[in-house]
Order: sequence, then C-alpha cells, then structure tokens
Amino acid sequence: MTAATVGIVLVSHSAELAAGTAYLAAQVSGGTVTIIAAGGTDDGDLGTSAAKVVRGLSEAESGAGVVVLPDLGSAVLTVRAVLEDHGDAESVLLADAPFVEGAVAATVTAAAGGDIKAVAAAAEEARHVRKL
Amino acid sequence: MSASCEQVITLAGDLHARPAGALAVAAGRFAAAVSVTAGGHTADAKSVLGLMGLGATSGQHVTVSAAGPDAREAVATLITILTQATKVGGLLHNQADRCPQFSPDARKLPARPHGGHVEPVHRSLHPDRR
Repeated sequence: MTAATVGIVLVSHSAELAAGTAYLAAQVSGGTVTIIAAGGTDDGDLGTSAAKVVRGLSEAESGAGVVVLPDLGSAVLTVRAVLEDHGDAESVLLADAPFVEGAVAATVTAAAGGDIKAVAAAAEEARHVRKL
Repeated sequence: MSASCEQVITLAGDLHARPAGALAVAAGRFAAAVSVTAGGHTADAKSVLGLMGLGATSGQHVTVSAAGPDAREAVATLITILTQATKVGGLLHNQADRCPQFSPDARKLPARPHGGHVEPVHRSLHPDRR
C-alpha cells in the first residue's frame, strides 16, 4: 500500500449522473478517495467535455495515478482524445466497465490501498458480478 | 506462517451498500484471502459487488473466513464491522469460532486436518482476486 490513493474520474454524458455516481461511490467507500465527476458539456447539456476531463484528471491525481470510467462509448472518444494530448500512459488508465458498479468497485479498491492496476481491474471485473 | 480462521455471526440487519463497502475496504488491507458466506453463496470479501450480491439479510447466519498470515486479524476486523454496521446480535461463540488464537482453550480444540484451510466455497465470484 502506498501513501497516495488512486483517484477516480467519472466521465458521463450527464452531469447529474456523474455527480450522483460519485456521491454513491464516496458513500460506499467511506469518503477517503478523490472522485471527480466530469459530466455534461461545458454549457451544461448532455454530452462530454474534454476540458472537464482534463480538469478532472488534474484534480484526481495525488501521486498514485488515476482511473477513468466512461459511461457510454462516445465518452471514450473524448477521454482518448484528451489522453493523446495530455495523458501519461502509466498514470492514467481507462477502464472498460459498467459505470455505476465499476465506479463503486474501483473506489472501494482505491480506498483499501490498491494500486492503479488493481483499481482498474476491480472496475473491469464488475461486469462479471451478478446482482441477482 | 499461514493460518486460517473462521467465525459465524447472525445478521440483525441487511447487508446493504455502505456496510458492504466498509467490509471490502477493510478486507482489501489484509494479505489474507478473505471470504464471506451467506445463504449458501460465498463472495470474496475484497469485492464490494460480490458482497452486495450475496443479498444477505437480517437473521441469516454469515460466515467470515480467512486464510493467510493475518487471517486472525482479518476475521476479527470484519466481524467487528459486520457487528457495528448491521447491528448484529451475539456472536455464535463455541459453535463456530474456529480461530484457535482467540480461544482460551486453544490447546483443547481438535487439530485442523490439513494444517488449516478455508471451508470449501459454493460459489467464488473472484477466484483470482487477492
């Protein structure tokens, strides 16, 4: 376990969805992990914003890296464009995961001291966990 | 040195999201493999989604098992969290406490058949997670 905790950036087409998921993940994980909601366009519509993703990556980084979760496929395009321009491949991982479950699982693993690969893996394993 | 440990409690409340999160955060800090069994299903205690997927409800017996160098501490910590987070009734001591280090009469307990192992699991959600 390292002193710094992996940060989480939630990239959603909806500002409310990103904020609500961030709140849920924070509540479940005990509030010790930095979770940045990057939802909606710059003028508040449905969509994604490269500027919000850039800001989120910066705010979520505390030395242990950042895991990014997109809600729908086209959010991936925005994140990838940002990473091509600004990204450090080792300090940012894009997780292919269900949004809510992945955010909760990733945040809990980060709170337990998991490293960036463990946090991303926890998010991606979320697709295999049945809820019924 | 590797050890195994297991305790059973009866839930006095349902295992909802926040208690499951607290359990998984705590379990993730131990080196031991930790699992929680309820209703015939077993989840990796380090997987919050697996714990919530157990659907453990008030009145159910829940078994916390661990195997590894800090198994005893892991089980004790998770039992405490379960007790506090779900307002659990009394521990089922003597019936299901399989942590020799915790028993005042440890030398009287029967030896584990293979030097200690976790009970067989019925369904492992994350067999590869550590």
